[in-house]
Amino acid sequence: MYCAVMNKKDLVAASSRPLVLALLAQGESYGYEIIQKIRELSREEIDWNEGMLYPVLHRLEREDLITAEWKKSENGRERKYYRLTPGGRKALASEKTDWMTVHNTLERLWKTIPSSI
Amino acid sequence: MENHPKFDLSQAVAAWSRCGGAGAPLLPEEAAQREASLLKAIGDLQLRGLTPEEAFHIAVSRLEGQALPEDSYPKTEKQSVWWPRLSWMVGGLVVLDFIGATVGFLTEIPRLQGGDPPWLQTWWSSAMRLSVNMAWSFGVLAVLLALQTKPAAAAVGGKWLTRLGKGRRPVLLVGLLVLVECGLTVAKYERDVSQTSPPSQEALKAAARINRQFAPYSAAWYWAWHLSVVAALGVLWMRRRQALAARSSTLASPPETADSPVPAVMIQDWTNRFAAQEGVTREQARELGGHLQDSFEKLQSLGLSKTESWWLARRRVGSVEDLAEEMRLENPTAHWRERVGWVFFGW
Repeated sequence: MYCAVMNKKDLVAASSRPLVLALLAQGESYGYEIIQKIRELSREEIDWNEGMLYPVLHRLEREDLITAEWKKSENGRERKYYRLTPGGRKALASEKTDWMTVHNTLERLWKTIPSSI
Repeated sequence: MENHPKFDLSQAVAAWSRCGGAGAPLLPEEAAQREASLLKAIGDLQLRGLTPEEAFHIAVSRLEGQALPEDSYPKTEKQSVWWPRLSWMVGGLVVLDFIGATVGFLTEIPRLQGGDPPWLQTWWSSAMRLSVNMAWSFGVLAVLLALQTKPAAAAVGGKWLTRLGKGRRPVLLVGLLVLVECGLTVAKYERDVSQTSPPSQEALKAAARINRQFAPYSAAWYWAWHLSVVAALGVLWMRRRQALAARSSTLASPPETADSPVPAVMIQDWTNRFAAQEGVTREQARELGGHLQDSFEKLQSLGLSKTESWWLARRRVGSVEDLAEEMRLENPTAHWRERVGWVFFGW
């Protein structure tokens, strides 16, 4: 039970970086919207909370993979918008290669496993 | 794939049923009916996107007509933005002055050991400084004693001030005597010096004598005065922290009747509290404040009441245990840089 919980947490932590980078590659966004978009895209399978997202965003900002800017939205409210930097695009390409490798390997492996498992 | 902490809904519902809710003991059929109602309400709320734990708390509060459980972070006194800044400005100023006073006190020592200071220019400095410091000290003391009858001052000073207040006459009398003695001494020697221009050798010798006589008292008094102010500020700071921890003032909920979204002032209030209590920077708290507002509006659109939405939005954003910790670790020196900035601004 403990291991299962830990594994899920680890998976959430590891996948958050490529997910955020990939989402920001579509255009700038802010914290709340990122959580909502990820929830929609994953058909509510991935449910991040604020405690996980903001540290990831701030870490990526420190690594110069994304930049942030305070802007006024249509309703006049100020929000901190995050945008991908050129460095972020390179990091995203690298992440994509890594994750595709894992994905392809797993896909080949799944085929060898009996469907009863 | 969720990263919410584990919550056992069936266990929580069973525990709630065992307690029989907030009312009188129920018959088994009534208890079963209540549990069914609770489970239905929880199911409805979960369908709107709430987690089992959130749905449980809101369903219980609806069934029992009770307030939602308070989170730990709003249990602080309302923090004004400028109170901590002002504290750092005044505190920093006094501490810097105290360091200066200590250095001054240490540099007096060689002078006392028989050096030949330039008395001609500063012959009156020690006596004058002692007079001024005495006047300051007893002036402040007199104000404190005068305020001692006021409830606000009594709350700040507490027993210490009350005890001091009991002996106020002798304290004030001694203070006044010292002050008058200093003043008379300074006046006498100033008169002696001003009788001749340039001052006679005798007057200058007398000035040097009085300086030597007063120098140790002056330096020691100056130092002790600053030490006592620093100590008093430290005591006040500790008392305030204890008071904050003990006090349980909660954030109000937005009015249910108003059509407007959660008032900006409430978001600002939450942001101030979150920044003050969790030690995150104001910009980090501001970003979360915007998130809180978005979350509040979304929850309202799901059919939750304003009170429920406000509670749940705050819970989701502010009660995430790791969040503040992570944010502090992100930039551990940012808060101290801000404080040091205010110290130097005050200075």
